[in-house]
Amino acid sequence: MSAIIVDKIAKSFGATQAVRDVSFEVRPGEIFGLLGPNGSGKTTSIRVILDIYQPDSGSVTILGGPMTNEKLNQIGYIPEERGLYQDVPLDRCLTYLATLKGLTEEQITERLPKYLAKFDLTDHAKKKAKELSKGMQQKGQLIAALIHDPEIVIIDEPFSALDPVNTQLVKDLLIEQRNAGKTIVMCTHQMNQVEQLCDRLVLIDHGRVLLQGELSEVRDQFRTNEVIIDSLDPLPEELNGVSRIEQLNGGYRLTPQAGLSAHQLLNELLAQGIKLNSFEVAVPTLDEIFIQVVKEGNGKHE
Amino acid sequence: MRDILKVFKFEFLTVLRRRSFILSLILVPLIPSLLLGVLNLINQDESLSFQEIFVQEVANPLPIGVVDMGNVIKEYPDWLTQGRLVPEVSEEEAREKTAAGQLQGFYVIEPDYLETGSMRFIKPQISMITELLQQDLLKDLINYNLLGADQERFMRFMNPTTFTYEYLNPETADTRDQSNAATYWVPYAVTMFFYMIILISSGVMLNAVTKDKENKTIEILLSSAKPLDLFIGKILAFGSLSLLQMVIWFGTLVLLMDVGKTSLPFLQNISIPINVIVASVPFFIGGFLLYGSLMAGMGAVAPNLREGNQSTFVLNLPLIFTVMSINQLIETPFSTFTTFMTLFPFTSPVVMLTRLSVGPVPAWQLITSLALLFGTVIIVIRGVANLFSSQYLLSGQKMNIGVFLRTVFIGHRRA
Repeated sequence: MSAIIVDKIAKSFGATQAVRDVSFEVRPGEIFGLLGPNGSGKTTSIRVILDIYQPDSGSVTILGGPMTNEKLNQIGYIPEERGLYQDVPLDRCLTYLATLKGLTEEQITERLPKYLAKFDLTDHAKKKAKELSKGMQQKGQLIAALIHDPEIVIIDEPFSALDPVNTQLVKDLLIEQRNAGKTIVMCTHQMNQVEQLCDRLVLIDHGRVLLQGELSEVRDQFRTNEVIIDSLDPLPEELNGVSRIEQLNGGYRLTPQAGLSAHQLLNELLAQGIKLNSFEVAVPTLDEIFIQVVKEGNGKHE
Repeated sequence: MRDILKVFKFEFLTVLRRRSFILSLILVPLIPSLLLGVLNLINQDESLSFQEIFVQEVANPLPIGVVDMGNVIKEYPDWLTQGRLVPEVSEEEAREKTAAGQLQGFYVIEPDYLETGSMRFIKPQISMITELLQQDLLKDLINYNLLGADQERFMRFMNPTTFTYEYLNPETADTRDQSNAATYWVPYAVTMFFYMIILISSGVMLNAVTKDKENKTIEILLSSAKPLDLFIGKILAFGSLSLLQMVIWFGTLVLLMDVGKTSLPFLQNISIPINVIVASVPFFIGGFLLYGSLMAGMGAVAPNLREGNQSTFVLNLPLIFTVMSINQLIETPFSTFTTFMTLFPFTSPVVMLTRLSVGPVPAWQLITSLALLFGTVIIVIRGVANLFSSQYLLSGQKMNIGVFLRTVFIGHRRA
């Protein structure tokens, strides 16, 4: 059973079509990346999934069926625009948000101290949110999203405004949740984080799906036969078997002539007496794939 | 509807625990109570009143002479003059007595007084305040003698009329005692009190809704609760708090006016009618729900409190107009204009209480006014519920006031 199935959803606001014909599937126990540039329709898609917005057409299936109040309580959500009540003590604010997620007073009394301790907030529980640092407030929001032990966690821009220490804390937490069998959907612009964390991803722009699949599949899809080498000596301007040489910071990117494999290119270089420190097949970064796909998408859109 | 109680509990307790709310709840009635207490303490002191001090210290105890060359005054009755005006036979003698300190001074009534009314006053020093008091006494003495030295006739001259009023239709007639200050003072106080408390308490609703946007908690709330649950939970919480505030403040006002009668003489004839006290609860609840819902709707479509506040003036116009018309409402309580304002749902929460503090209101007007008020409340709450949709709550764009009012009263624009 899929955790989330989004099937051809469309949503418009007046004359603006925010999402059109978007479909993807999120499997249980995976970290799923929902990627796209600003204004691409990511947040609208999430709001439709969460039943905050009703789609104009299409449907969403959550944990095997339509959204219900009970299923809403099995989802933890941290939106991009997030905050806590600034004039209310942290523990009271978290208690309120937990009751809205269906927890009883007894459950909150049992769980909240554990989460506060886990996030090193025990000594700050009685402070108002405005008296806490930004990092502490982010941790408070994470507690609000996790305290009801949800099956699905949806986080919009999980690393925004976090320092490296807290970024690592959130990454560890996401991995911990995945290892515990939870499903995580994360929206982000930070492709390095997606490469480190996500199992599968979907890329949308202008409200349309441009690309989706497993991370390794996506990379393979955009893989070229270019190689990156680090040589002991400077390379000559021309090499047999190489159609293009691009100097990088501390190395070279070589484009083999048509029909030549990376393995054959290595042999050619060695045969020409090139002394190599390293030789690796150039795998496109997700950043490069993102930019390429969005540019191509924009070209088609225009 | 599952989350209404949770929202109600959180909002109610959050405000109830707030120091500023507790202080306003206690201080507003406490300060006038303390002032009244101080006045009571002062009045327990058996010192002289201001008038007594004035007479004793400022007014000279020496009599004033009267040289009557016009033969006007036949009698100097003690019940009228109390020995303060005494007859003198000649101007010279009176001048000597004044110089000797036996008289303050003396009046000379000229021989042609009856034709010209002229007289002179001779005195070492002139104090205008004292003179005015003394001259009144002389005028009374002359009037008494001009009326033939007849005490009964003089008393009637001083107070020529004693009216009793009879009305063709006592139910709709203005039966107020026009000479009593309370006739105007109480309606003014009641009008201003309910104008202020409805304005303030409904304004809190705007703050309550925009607060969720400014704190950036609204989307987290919407991922757990339905917008309508948030709206109803909030309006019930803030309505209860405002009712509590109104009951304590208004109750204190009623109590102080009763207790204060002993220390503040001007309160002797003033009291808030019981029907105002009884009607204040349903009309305040109706007024709060009407204006509070509109403010909550404005909060739903406004991106922040500042933007929301800019549009509230238009929504509050009927209340402002009520205060501007206060004189007309009190002076002509049975006019068509006042009757309309009593029935019109946007003014009735204040005007009905003004009317009731002026005098009785026909039963049909009370029933019609309440029915129209709560009917309009239902329409407005349904309209505002349309604005409490995720699309508006999460939108950062301000809605035009015209579109807002159309959406509340006519249209359904649910996202």
